[in-house]
Amino acid sequence: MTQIRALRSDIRHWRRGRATARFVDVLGDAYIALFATLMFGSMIVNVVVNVRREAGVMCTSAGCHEARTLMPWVIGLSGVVVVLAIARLFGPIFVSPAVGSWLLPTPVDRASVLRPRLIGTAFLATVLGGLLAAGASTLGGFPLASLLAFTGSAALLSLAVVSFAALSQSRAGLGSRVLLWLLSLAVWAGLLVLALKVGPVASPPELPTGWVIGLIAGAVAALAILVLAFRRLGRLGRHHISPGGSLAPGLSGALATLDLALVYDVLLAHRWHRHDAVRSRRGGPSGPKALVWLDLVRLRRSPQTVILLMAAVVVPYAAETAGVGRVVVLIGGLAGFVAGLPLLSALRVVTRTPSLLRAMPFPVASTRMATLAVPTGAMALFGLATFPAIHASINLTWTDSVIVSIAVGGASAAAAVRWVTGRPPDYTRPLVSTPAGGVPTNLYGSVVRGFDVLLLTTAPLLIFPSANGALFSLVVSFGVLSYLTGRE
Amino acid sequence: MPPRKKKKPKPPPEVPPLLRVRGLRRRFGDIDVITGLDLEVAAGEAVALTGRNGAGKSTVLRCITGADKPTAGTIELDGVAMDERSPIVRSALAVVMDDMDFFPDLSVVEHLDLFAKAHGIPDAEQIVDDVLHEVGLIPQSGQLPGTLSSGQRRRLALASAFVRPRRLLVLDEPEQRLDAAGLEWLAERLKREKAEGLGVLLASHAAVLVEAVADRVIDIGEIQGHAE
Repeated sequence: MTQIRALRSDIRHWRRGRATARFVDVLGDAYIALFATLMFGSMIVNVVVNVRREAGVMCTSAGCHEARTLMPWVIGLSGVVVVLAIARLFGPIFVSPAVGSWLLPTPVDRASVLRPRLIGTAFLATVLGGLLAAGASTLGGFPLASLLAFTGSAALLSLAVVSFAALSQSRAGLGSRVLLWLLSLAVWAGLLVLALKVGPVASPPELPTGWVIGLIAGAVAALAILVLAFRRLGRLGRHHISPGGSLAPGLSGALATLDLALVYDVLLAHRWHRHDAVRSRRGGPSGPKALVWLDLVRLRRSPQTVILLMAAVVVPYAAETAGVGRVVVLIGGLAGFVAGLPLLSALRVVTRTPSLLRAMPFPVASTRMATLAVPTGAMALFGLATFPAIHASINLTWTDSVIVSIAVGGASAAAAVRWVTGRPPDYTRPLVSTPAGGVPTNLYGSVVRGFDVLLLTTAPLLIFPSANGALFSLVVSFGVLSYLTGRE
Repeated sequence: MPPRKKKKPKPPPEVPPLLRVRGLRRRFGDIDVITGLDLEVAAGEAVALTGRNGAGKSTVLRCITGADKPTAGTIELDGVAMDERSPIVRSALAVVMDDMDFFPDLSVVEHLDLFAKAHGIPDAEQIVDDVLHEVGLIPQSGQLPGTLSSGQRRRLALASAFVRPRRLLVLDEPEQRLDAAGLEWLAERLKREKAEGLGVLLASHAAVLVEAVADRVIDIGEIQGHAE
């Protein structure tokens, strides 16, 4: 078996004398990277500390106090869920397409090739999980000892779940999938406890002996799983580690151009590429209704999209408990917008694929409207489900609360449609000169896409939280939807 | 009473060709890619566009299908100016270009069902099954497009044109990624399309296909060379 060390030594030998960057350039790049990290890091820390101070002054109600003590736990656990979800998306162990096609088919010791990747992934997961928990516990006003205990626990949990994901990668990630569902359920349960106002006020973790022993035991368990994952690296086949490697260049390319809708396309293709075949559903109506019927088939095929939207209903209720007042419409709209995006895959595909639009015998607007019927219906129901939270937050009549809640659903739908129908950065148009080079004029706008429409459509509800404000908001949402679906 | 003048018999009304292109011009910046192209396709006729890479074959097809806007010239379908936004034009034109893509979460048969049902074909499932059999995708009918080979994806794209009503087939290099048997099938299928009175306009580099199917061949590269 070829030794990886010998191979690396060969690579170093080949590279000698072929460097394309000078030592000074490398030092300069490292300095800029370090400076940027420190600058952005200190900015974020500054914002978090200021928000904590403001929250301490303004958070006086019992509901807000309860939310403030419970939210760090929910956010900390959400951080672990995010870490695990990202890890599962890429593998967590993956290799670049070049390594996958050149190095893996050779008789080189595969475990040696993959070991540095697992170390890197485990390190990143630990840091990311810890940082998110540190931010959440700072916002929650935890004392320093509790903050350290909380951050350490979250970091160890992140390390453990990513190691577990690596362990289950050779078995198609089934174990990590179940774990992800369980952790997501725990996050949702935390929000539910807050929304129902039934939970005890969660106290910050202290550092008594029990907690310290727990931390040590957790660290030992996490390391044990990591060691097991190292031992099983040799069992990983190319088909386990190559998909993540092909996903990474696609995602980095899309992110480099700030084209978030392209990120959506890449993720959608990646998600369905894992499936070989599906049980085909035939039948259904004719004309534009055929597209609507297929959206129902999609819901049946991947019910998690609608489950996510249903689960997000708890967010405005939790916000109501926290005493956010009329801002609950903005939070509800935001939750519907984000959770509703996976439902809009058909609209996204017809938006980026003119050939599909061309193949339909009806006008472009009819095709897009047909792909919208099911998602907007679901988002309207989502909005409707938030009316008790709106009623309690804004103190409206029940009828007015229902109208406002439908407007919230409409705002979510308009924002989500704006997001998925966004045009990619156009490099053929005149560019704006910036220190980073020529930038297309619509590049900056792509980052706030969707959020702009959300603000526009919820503004009438925030300014005039009444039935009239809701009707005005609905008119704006309908106008946005008509424009976006009808444009060439 | 003055004798009544004998009416002259009216000449039979001129039947316009299925597709008529007059003076088509497409300019990209300072470069004229197409300079005044005239082209007609009658019902039951196949016209092939040939020429070197970059001669402008695909540009002509893109202008005709409305995917690109010509700088000048007229395009008529049945003697009426063609507007691809019109549902009548969309029903008449079956287009298979290079940009054909599919829904990642729908199977092969679900795609074909969608195309047929969107056009309101009454016995859609039967036609889809027949076309699936013809293109050899029955075993792959439950597969997602992302799992198909490039040749199978091409067959699916072609099948999508055959499951729907059409009067004119517009195909851009339909032979791409097809194996020898696939090319033979395509030639036979296009001959059948002609026999059924449909028009075919294709751009192709495959001499075998052009020779087997085309009634007329237009060398775009040569025309543009003369124009320059």
